[in-house]
Amino acid sequence: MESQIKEIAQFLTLQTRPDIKLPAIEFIAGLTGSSETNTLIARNTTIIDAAVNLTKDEIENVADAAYITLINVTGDDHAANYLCKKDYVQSLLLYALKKTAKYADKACMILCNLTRLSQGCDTTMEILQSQDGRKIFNQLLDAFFCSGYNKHATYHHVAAILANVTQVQAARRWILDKDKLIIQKCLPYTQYYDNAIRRRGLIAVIKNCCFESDCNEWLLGEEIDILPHLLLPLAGPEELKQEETDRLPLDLQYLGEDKVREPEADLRIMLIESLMQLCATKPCRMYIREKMAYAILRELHQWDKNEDVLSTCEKLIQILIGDEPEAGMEDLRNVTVPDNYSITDKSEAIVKK
Amino acid sequence: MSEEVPSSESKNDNTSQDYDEEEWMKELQKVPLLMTEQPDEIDPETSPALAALQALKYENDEDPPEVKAVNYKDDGNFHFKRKRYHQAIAAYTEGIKQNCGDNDLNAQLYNNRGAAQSYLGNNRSALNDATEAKKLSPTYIKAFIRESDNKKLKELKLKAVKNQKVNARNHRKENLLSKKEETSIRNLMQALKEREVTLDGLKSYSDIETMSIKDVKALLTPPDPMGASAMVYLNEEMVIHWPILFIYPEHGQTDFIKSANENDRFMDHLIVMFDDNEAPPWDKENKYKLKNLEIYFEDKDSTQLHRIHLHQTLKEILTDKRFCVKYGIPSFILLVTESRRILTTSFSILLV
Repeated sequence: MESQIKEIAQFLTLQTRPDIKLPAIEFIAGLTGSSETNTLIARNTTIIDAAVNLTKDEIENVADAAYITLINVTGDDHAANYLCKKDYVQSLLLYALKKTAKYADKACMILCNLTRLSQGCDTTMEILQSQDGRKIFNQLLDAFFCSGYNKHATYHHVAAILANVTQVQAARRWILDKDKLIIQKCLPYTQYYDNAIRRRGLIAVIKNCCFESDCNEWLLGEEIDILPHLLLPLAGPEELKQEETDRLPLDLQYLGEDKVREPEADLRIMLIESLMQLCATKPCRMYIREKMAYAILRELHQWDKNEDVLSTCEKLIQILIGDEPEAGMEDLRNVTVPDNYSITDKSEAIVKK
Repeated sequence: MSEEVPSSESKNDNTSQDYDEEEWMKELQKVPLLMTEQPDEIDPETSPALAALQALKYENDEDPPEVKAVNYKDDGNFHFKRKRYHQAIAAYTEGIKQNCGDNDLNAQLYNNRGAAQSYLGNNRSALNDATEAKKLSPTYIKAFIRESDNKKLKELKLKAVKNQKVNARNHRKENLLSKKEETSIRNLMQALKEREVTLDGLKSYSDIETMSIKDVKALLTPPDPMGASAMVYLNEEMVIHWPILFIYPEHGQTDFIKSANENDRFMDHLIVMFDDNEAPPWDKENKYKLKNLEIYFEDKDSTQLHRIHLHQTLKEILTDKRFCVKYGIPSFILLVTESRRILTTSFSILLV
């Protein structure tokens, strides 16, 4: 197989006759479709370089197949690390933001695959933090939030890119900028059932941002009012007691029998984990308790069948209905946990292949 | 009040005859040195001294209008910083009146006045001033827009969002309640159908399918003053509770029971109502005793009365084909043995 691949590699240039390069690149793209052969290609930097080159091909099908090759191949860590070069990431970003770019969505998918690794994340952030970087970042947000930015693309995968880069604190601080209020635009997406990629990505962004504990009070405050956005997807059609209903945020009162919960278990978990992060400090914890989040979680616990959701839910319920920790331990993040009890719980962003 | 009343404190008379303390304070306020507040507008008629002082500062004819405008602006800023917005507005207005040729300065005066207006909540004036300032100096306006944007508009927006949420919540609540009511009425009608209770105004239970909930409800709602609160209902154990009315034609009296279990015997209610020790106030002759009571119901066409036995239950009677529930309240006629004769003669109702 390897010798065959090598043989084909020589046809993967812009200058090759179309009737040869098209089947050649389509063959390679086909190989990346199964995980076994994908690893093989991922280790072949000649092919990867050639594919990068062919994305600029004038023939639509050739460029298309080249993009598919790169998307699949970057699902492999080896190839992703190889492509995490500053120049390439920058060119991808700039291409994706062109209003006429035909393959903007595909470029976003590659970026998303690259940023899932810490190296890709760092490279991307390095670019975004450079002189023109903020402009690129803002443009990326424009493309994502404003429909019709580029008629060839949906920019759904920007959500996943954002989810990945918010593993870096600098990106979280941008999202949490108190003048730009980007987080405010993100919140409605917790209930964006039209598109799972956007919803998943932005729930991850929100969860990552909840790790910035100094912003938690602001997030829960009336300007941003994050709580209903986190609780609504977890709430179901059950009728609650009057005194519970009255304490809930307005958006959660009297939801009615057609209310459905977030269908994806891992997204329910992320929402609960976000709430858990917000519970880290005492004033925020008191507020969430006051707003009767417990009632929503209790009903979720009754309804949910997924073990992982149930156990995450139990952890949060413990915090909500348990006794307040003793003096000096109120900030749950500063409590030292004895080694034998600790479970490494890092800010994990979702991985999109 | 204003009539001359000889004052016991004649000491005040030599200063001014009619002055009470309040007016005296007002007079003092006109003396610049003793003022505690700066007036919004200076009228030379009422406070000549202040007008003169003002003239010293501002009406120096040798000063060009630009200098005067700057003076007024500084004055305005002085008040603005101390949150005395009315006075700041007065000062800026004076500054604007100077009509100086410096557009940037005028823009600042308008802008600052607008800012003061916005702090007072005069949003329209603030907006007008902002527009004016923008006309004079298009580049200068940014700061002000931000200011008003951040404070008043933010508040306004938060308020609007909250109102919207409250409205949405109320809407959901109403929907939920009306849906609940609908189910409960449908269930009730089903229970009535099973018991074959005849309702006045309903020919057949199959008609209900096509009727609106409002119309179905109307069939069962008692008239005022009892109203909807007394309406028949089906509890969770599938037992119907009725409002019932006992009529005493001999005395023109009625007794109303708001919620009677359909499984109650008539006796159960009457035993409470006609205690041997305590006769109803209208029963002067003390005839209405449990052992004398006779209960009847009217049939559908109000032509006949049918006797009810005290040990019969409400349900037994209501499911009787001859019985008809009118106005949502089953009603029964109560007599005592002796009064039957009177009734047969005075009312032309046939007793069976």
